[in-house]
Amino acid sequence: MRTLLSNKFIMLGGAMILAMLLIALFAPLLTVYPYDGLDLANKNQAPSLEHMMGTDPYGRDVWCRVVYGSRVSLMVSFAAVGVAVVCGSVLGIVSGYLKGGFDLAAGRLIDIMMAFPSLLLSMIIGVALGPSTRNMCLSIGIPLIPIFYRVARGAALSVGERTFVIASESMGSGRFRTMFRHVLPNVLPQIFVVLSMGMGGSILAEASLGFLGLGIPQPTPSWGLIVNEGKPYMFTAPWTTGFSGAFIALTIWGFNLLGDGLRDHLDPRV
Amino acid sequence: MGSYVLKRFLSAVPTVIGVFVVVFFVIRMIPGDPAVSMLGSGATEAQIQVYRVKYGLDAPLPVQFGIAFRNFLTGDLGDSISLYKPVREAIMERLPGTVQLAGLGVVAGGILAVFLGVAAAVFRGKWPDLLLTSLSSLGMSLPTFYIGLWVLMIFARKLGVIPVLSNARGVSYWQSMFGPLLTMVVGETSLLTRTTRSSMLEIFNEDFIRTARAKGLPEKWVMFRHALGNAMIPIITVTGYNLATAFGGAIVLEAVFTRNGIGSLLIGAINARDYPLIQGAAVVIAMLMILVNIMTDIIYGFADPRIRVSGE
Repeated sequence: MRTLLSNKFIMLGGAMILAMLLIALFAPLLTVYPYDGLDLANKNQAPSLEHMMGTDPYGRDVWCRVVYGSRVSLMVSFAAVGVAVVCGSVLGIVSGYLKGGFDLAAGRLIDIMMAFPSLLLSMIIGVALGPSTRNMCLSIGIPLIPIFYRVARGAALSVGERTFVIASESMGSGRFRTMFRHVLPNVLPQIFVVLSMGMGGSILAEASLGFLGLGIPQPTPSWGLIVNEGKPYMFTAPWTTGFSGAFIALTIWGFNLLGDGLRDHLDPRV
Repeated sequence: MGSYVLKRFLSAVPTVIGVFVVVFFVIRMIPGDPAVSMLGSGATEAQIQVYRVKYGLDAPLPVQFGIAFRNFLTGDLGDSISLYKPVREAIMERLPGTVQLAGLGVVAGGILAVFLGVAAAVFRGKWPDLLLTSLSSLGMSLPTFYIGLWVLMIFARKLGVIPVLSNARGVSYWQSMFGPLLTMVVGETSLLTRTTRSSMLEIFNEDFIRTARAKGLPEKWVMFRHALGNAMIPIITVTGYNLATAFGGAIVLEAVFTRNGIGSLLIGAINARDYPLIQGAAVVIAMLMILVNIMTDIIYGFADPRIRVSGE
């Protein structure tokens, strides 16, 4: 634990994410305006004492939108990564442990998914399912399955050959028990590294889809939506897109730093 | 080498077929009737029926799939509902713009990144290294659309050297290319700089580098000939990855800079609910990615004979 905290990437990334989580958690305490209060007389106002990040094209406080947007964006990203980590790891562990036909079939499926740019796959799944917050989690999560699959499969392949797994098998424990009592815990560290990177990827995907107008539908304030709403006014009122984009970038950076730190921690050679 | 290349291509066939199957069925899940959305709410039942028959939307799904798949094998991707022309024609018009952008971006970013990466490795732990490593870590975290919007803000709005809309009349080729290219280079260089740096640092510990130095070879020669040459495999991997992701990135880039390309074609198709065009564009983008991955593998074979031998 001490070595974990002495890694400056882990500390910096962790602190940034913690700050973002606290902002999301204490959103009502940090804002004075409602996030959906239209005030068309005050639209596109530059940052001032009343509105520290200015107002958006509908006269709403940008800081307030960004703070409440962090709730939606972080929640969607956690759910999306949750979908990916469960599907990807289970599929990967079973593939790596059982090998043979299952591995071959799952590998083919993953190959097909990896043939798509993840944004493209998110887009077509999102369009097919229709716009909603739940569908957004699925459309962002499904393209992330391959990265967890590959890590879990690779780790399970090597763990499966270790003595304690063979010992467990020889004592008569079933495949299911061996996989989830003995293989899974030893695969987890590698999954954590990818988890952090996956969170960054999810935030990016949500924002990019929002930017393209294919994100979480109105009126829920997500980061992607805020960027999209400010986009037509980028030159005259750059604060809406500017500040919300900066929050997106900082959050992704935090998750990337944490992921880098965890990887260095697990594999100090690099 | 020939059999290695052939094997690599053959192994991609099931993936291409799988891609087609996935796209076909995912697209068919779209809620709403494409005939109704194309004709508008004022259309009569008879008009809608005629439309369905004309575009084969009345047949059962397996039959529709059979027809579409047979046509796909002959290179026919159907007719676009919203553009009134064959999907293949629409894609062929837009594809060169995207491929040129992706190719140029990867080459420009690649050259820059290798130089920066080597510099970071040579100055390990000193200020150029720290500066480059932290900048690249930040650069990797900036969303493409965000970099693009700032490029527009600076070069189009403040300096006025590039147009806000790349597809406007009277815009020269390089003017329209500059913004998206710069955006791509910022994003891609970050990852490749890191890769080059860590790959170089690993090679520095090898015995043959010590031997080369002990022989009294000039340091530049050791760096670029001995170290970089052997650090190439991860660099090729990431360059291939960058090129593959550039086709996905084009979707966002073309939206930011209002550029004509396959990405903006796809967005337009989604907004118009143009099933055949969405399907065609998605399949073609995925096939480009598969092609790039095959090419990367083949280049590995050239760069490192050990991979070629084990692949055969």
